[in-house]
Amino acid sequence: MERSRRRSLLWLLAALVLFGLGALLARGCTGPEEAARRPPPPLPRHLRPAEARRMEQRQTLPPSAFPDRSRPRDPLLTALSAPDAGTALVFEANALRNSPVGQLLLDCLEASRPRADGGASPLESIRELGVDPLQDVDRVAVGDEGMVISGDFSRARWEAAFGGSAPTPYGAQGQLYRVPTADGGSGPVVAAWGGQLLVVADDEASAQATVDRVEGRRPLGQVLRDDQAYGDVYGVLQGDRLAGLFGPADGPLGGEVRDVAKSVELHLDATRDVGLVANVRGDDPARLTDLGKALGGALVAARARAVASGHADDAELLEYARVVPGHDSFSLEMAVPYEVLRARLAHCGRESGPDAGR
Amino acid sequence: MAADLLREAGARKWFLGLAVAITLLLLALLGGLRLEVVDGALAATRLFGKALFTPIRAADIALRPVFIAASYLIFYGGMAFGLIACSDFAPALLSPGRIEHLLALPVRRWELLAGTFLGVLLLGLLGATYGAGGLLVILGFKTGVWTWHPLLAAALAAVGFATVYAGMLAAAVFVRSAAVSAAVGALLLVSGILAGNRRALLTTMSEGPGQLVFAAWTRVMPPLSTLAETAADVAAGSPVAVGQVGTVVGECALFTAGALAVAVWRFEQRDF
Repeated sequence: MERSRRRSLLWLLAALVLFGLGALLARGCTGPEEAARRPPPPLPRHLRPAEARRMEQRQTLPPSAFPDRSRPRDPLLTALSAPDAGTALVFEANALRNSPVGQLLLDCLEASRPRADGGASPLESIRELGVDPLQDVDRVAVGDEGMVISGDFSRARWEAAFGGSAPTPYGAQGQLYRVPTADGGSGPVVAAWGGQLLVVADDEASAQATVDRVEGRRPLGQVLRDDQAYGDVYGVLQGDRLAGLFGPADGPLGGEVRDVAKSVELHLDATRDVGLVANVRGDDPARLTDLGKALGGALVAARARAVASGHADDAELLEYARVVPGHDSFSLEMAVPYEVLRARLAHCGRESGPDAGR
Repeated sequence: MAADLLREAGARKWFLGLAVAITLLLLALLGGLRLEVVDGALAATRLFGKALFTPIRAADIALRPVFIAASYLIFYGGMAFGLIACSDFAPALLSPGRIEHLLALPVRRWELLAGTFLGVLLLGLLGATYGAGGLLVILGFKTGVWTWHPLLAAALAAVGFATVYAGMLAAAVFVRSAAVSAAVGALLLVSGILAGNRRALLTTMSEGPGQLVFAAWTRVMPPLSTLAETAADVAAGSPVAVGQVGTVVGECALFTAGALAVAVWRFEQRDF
């Protein structure tokens, strides 16, 4: 009797082992997409302590000769804050350059650069002007009135950089350069301010207005608040600039985004993995909710289609993409692990190098 | 035991009906498929150097959709029929009077179950081979394309049915009911379809207990839909990695063996 029971238990044990082996076999053939399930990369959803410290360190008082010295400000964000500004996008160039992903991209650029001519790289040409783009540039920002670059430009030789244009002093610490075009016409106007800001504007009035804001002579708008300055790329797109991003070629979903979304606040973190959060706001909560659901559904469907059709690379890019609904907004979240980017950029530039085709 | 089961199947009108249905379907294909288009195009090429009215394609490529459709029909159609027709084999085996007689024979208990399973496996293989073989003979005569791929696909369909029947057999040993056996078979079929698409389905689920349960369940279940797709690829002569076929068949075989082991474990414990 005891022997019979032991024998029957052996059958049960065999069944468990066989089911387990089957599950293991299933795991083995599901591929890297599922086998290597990683914890989700961190996403930039709010101002973190290190970024708050960074923000405080960047705040300075306007020059003492001007009246509005009520509180310290970040000169770059101030430069972008025209009263009617609708767009501001800031790239933390130094942080990006020193991130693992930034290093990958630099390696990629270096590998892609043609070496056959033996000439100096564009970086070398800029270094000869007293500015090392990889060391001296801190942030690059794009606004409605042009571009603003912050960093250490104390050694820069701007006159040589801007075609020998003689500077015109403006304000307490500003120097305006009128950059001629190749055919001798009037090009953009560049304002260098205090050895730490460079403003590139379409015309002199815009350049002067930017310097005025930095030195406290003009009222400010609030396109991007200090507490929104987190991540390695951050900014706000709204109004015509946002609508202009979508055209007929983007299909019905693009048209709906253009009509419904009134502002998009972007934050991208590249500390190690790359994470993106886009907070979308609009005036019509019902349509905004529908838009969020449509986007979320499209992302899930795209990933499912990529998985089903064997496009593992595309599926990896969409693995952490989702839409998080809010009260009067929704957040589009995406993340790409560093390992995925590294694998994608592993062969970058090789096809254009001298060994191509060997 | 397997031979007994085949004799029993032969005596049933269910299986006579299946044989008639397959034959009628093959005859319909024989008369209905407009394969003269292929023949005509080939003849025109021989005569005039080019096709007259239609762009010509290789006959085996033109026939791929037919082989794929036939493969899916044999796989899922055969499985649906088998779920119903074979659901009372095991309950009949365990019926009072018969089981005592069988246990009195000089065979071990596990051999009784293995014989029943092998009989059903042979039955499934015969049905699938008859359908696929008839199709390829008809197409072979009409187009000159002779291929053994549909037979291999039929064998894969038999593997799929055997996997489901192993679960049905185990269920019947626990509860002697044809309805329960068929219900378990249907559950396994649905689970197998889900298991074959688990990766795509998991992407549509948010993280949580539901996703964990689904992931665990579909990991143990045999990937029947993947096996059906592989069979269709094989039937169409599409390139299929041997490793992929081996993995899918291996998963089904391991599940089958596991289910049979559960059935034997329970059968050994029961008093009749």
